[in-house]
Amino acid sequence: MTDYFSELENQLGRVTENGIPNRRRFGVRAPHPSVRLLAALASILVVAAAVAVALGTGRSVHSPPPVSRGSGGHARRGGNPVAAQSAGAGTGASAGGTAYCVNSITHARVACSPREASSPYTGGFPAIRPHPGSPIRLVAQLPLHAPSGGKRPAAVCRVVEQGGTFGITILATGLAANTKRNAYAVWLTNGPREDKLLGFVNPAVKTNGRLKTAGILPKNAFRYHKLLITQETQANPTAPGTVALEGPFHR
Amino acid sequence: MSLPADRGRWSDAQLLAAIPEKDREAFGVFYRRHLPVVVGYLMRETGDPELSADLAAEVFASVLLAARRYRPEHVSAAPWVVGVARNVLGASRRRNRVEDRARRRLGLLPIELDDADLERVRALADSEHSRVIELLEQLPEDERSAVRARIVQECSYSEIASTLRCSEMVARKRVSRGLARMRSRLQERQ
Repeated sequence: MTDYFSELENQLGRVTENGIPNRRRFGVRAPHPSVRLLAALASILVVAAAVAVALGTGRSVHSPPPVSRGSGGHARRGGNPVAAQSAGAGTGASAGGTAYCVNSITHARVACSPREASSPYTGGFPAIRPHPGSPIRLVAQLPLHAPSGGKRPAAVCRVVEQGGTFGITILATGLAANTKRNAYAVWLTNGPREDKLLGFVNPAVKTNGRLKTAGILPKNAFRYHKLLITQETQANPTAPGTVALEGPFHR
Repeated sequence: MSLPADRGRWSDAQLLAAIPEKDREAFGVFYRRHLPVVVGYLMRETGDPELSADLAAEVFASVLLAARRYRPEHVSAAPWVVGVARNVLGASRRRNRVEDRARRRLGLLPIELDDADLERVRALADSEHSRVIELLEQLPEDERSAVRARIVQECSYSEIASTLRCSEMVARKRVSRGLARMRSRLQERQ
């Protein structure tokens, strides 16, 4: 008869002999089946909504929203509602361009693949949603650059406002593609001990090195004076990781 | 350089490196070497032999899963193993149930505990306890009093200083030296 600890040693010894299963990377769990199901349902709903919009407007699903981005241009009837509002309110070419960007990015965020939806880096900042009847205003356009001062990577952060709510859109190029072990995150900071994680960038940056994301800013966002895009290797970082891009932040 | 055939002479780092290579004997040596430390720690924290045995099983299952990621920072892997035990205990306390994720992942079967096993848990914890007591007794008088006051009686340094009639700085130094001496002797034995 074997005692408890001998039996435990036997069982663990057998596991060792047969080979220990590879452990997934730290802090990452396999998505629960219900999460996978929800992600699949969300994808179907997004596709259905896109098809409905396309049928309603007589356009192809993949065709871009008909926004006139020329000087003082107007969005055509049936176009992107956000763009139509901003252009209709006469906020100018840059604001119209931003509105197009905000909406397309929002769609990109929602329509991410199930693999991306099940990423451990949850907590992307809330997507900008169009507010009917309220124009989008471009508040600031801020350049972001690499800490080393090189030309690449580079990014533009646009601060926008709609109905009293502030948001940002970020478009970056020349970034290193994400691996399975990292993700880009957006932070606001005033220094080493005063920083705020806005969220992770989803979908991940691929080999083309492009990053695009958008989200609503928290109410106290403008007390921070610097914006960072960092590469994170932990699902719950308490401080910014390796800084890929940085720049001033203000309105 | 080839390793000695006797796994008992291998260092913890060598044993842990051999575990992912399906070396069952290396795991056995590592397990027997650190079981008293783990059980002693868990008994001190929980005071319950049944719970300690259950948690110890989860700790060694976690060690098996994490062996690949071990980076030798000390001569002994005991601090690392106790760190794993602390994490398992913390997770169990947070969830209000004994953590069993590692065991489920490895497909381990539940093991029944009888009275003899519970006695064995107590004996293991006592052996670890007596080992520490023995090390404490070997310290010089001033260091022993300082370590006992700080670690066992949990006195503040100012209280220790007034009891031992020395400055707070000297009290700190005595505790630090005493613990360092105990640590090095513990490593020598292993």
